[in-house]
Amino acid sequence: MTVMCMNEIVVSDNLTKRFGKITAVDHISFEVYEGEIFGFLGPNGAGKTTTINMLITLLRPDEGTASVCGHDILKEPNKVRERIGVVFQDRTVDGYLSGWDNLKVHGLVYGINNDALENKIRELLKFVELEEWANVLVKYYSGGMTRRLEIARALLNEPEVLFLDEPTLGLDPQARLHIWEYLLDLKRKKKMTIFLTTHYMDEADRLCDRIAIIDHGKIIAMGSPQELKSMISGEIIYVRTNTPMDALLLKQHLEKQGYSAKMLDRDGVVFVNVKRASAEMPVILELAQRAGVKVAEVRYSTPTLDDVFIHLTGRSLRDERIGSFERIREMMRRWRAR
Amino acid sequence: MARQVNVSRHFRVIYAMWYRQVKRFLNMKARVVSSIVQPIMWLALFGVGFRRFATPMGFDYLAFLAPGVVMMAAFVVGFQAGASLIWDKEFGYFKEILVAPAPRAASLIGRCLGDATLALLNSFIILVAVYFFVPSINVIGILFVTAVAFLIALCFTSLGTLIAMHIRNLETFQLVMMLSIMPLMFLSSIFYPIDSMDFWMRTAAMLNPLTYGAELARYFLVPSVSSLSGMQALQYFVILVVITLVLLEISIFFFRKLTMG
Ligand SMILES: Nc1ncnc2c1ncn2[C@@H]1O[C@H](COP(=O)(O)OP(=O)(O)O)[C@@H](O)[C@H]1O
Ligand SMILES: [Mg+2]
Repeated sequence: MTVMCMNEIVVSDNLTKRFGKITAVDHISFEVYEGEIFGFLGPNGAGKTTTINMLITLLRPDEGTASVCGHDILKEPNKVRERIGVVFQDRTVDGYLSGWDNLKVHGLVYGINNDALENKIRELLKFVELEEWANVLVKYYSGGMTRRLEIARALLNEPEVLFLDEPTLGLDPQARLHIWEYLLDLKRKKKMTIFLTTHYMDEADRLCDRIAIIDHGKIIAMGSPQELKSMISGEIIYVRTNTPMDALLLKQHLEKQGYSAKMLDRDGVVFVNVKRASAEMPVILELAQRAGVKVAEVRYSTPTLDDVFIHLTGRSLRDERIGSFERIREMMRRWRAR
Repeated sequence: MARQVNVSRHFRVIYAMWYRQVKRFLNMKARVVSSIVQPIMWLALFGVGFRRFATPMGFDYLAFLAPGVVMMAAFVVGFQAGASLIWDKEFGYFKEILVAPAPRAASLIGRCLGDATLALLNSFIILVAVYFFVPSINVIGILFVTAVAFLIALCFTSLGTLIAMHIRNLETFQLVMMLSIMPLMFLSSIFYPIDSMDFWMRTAAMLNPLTYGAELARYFLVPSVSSLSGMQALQYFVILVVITLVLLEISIFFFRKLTMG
């Protein structure tokens, strides 16, 4: 591994959590090193939130334990709480308080004294560019602004590790970029250690020094984005056909010709892993024609983390159906919280 | 683990949660307006109606009732304040509190004090309104009655919050409230003197903090309709303080237990 500073800030040792018959988190072990951004990448229901909840001392593991900043989450939960900042997946601001008051209450609860607190709040509101909104009730904030406020709040107690659970879930692309900038800024300027979860592969790729890919409560791969992507050599050609049937037909033809091809069960896309896409693309198109498969779209790229996930599980991270469902749920939640 | 008590740390947390509860309420304009208008309307309609037929009976019922109504306001608003905990659980704010390294007791006390303050505000408005209906009230007594109303508010805020801790659903909570508010009110001496009750009712009333509140309020506001002696008043006051502290302590105990304190 190519990690320079080897101070472990978070150490998870066989963390396990069951809900009835479901094992939401299944003997997960990993380390997060000082100053890095470490990401949990996995689809909905993989166990990301459950893991974070155990690390931040909200949920008691059934087996295993973890330590954060050298303190055991079970034996010294308050020591852990003092040293971390948390941005939850769901919004946890008080809509009927102003942005300023949300931070003020948080600061007082964390034991920061009043004078220091005012300066700190001003500084952080500036950092997340919400100074002008300081006195507006948070229920009038957009989703992106709320998230920024939550990040500012999590930084108030000068945490040693920042935990973020799906920091850009349900945000529009511009708001996401904004959040990414803040997080990268924190890492660069404050050497902040960040643990985040996401089901967006581009987010993990862009932000994380190291990623653990998690599925069904287990870590199925871990490494830097480069290391993970190099699990797949060459390039990936995506061939979109009109029906899943066509896709299956094409996949089988390709395999007969010795290609490494994969498909997902729902949307008629075939993924072909080749050495050089530009050279192979015409060959594949010709093959499709011979097989009588109508091709709707072709493109290629170097492997993405999604390809890695497909390679490992046969499923895609990018499940649009769940994605839009999540989005609606998020909208409902925001609407109700007004 | 040794629990070290740092007073200023506790105080800051208590203040933070108190501030949050009060400020949040003040930011809800509609609630502020209704909390002022409602009790006044209630007393106006109820009181005037009663005066019509109670006075000819040779007994100033309104003077008897008014102090009880002040307690009733503190009780009803305080008791239902537990709903804010259910709101916080639903909308995530609760997690924000749980992940803080703050002493659980302080955060709960702050919360209850905040809600009790709001309930007190409500009953204070009633108190002012009462002055217009029953001009004969003892103005000096208002100070003492405010203290008693605060105890009643805190007592029932603690109880309401304790109940809310164990309930997820707002409708369930409201049902529990509806089913307990009426009996608590009628099994107390708010509406009729203890002496007029039969044995069972009297026993129930003497277990009910509201009775102590109503009796004390009467003693301070309208001594002419009170049957308490000074010694009894002191006794009642101590009993009310003890009940309140016990309920608050039970609340804290369960709060710690339920939240990995
Ligand atoms: N409180 C709970 N009770 C029962 N099941 C739960 C609870 N929380 C999570 N789960 C289940 O555990 C699994 C992992 O959930 P979660 O950690 O929220 O996943 P993620 O955050 O990766 O989407 C899911 O199958 C989910 O349904
Ligand atoms: Mg989650």
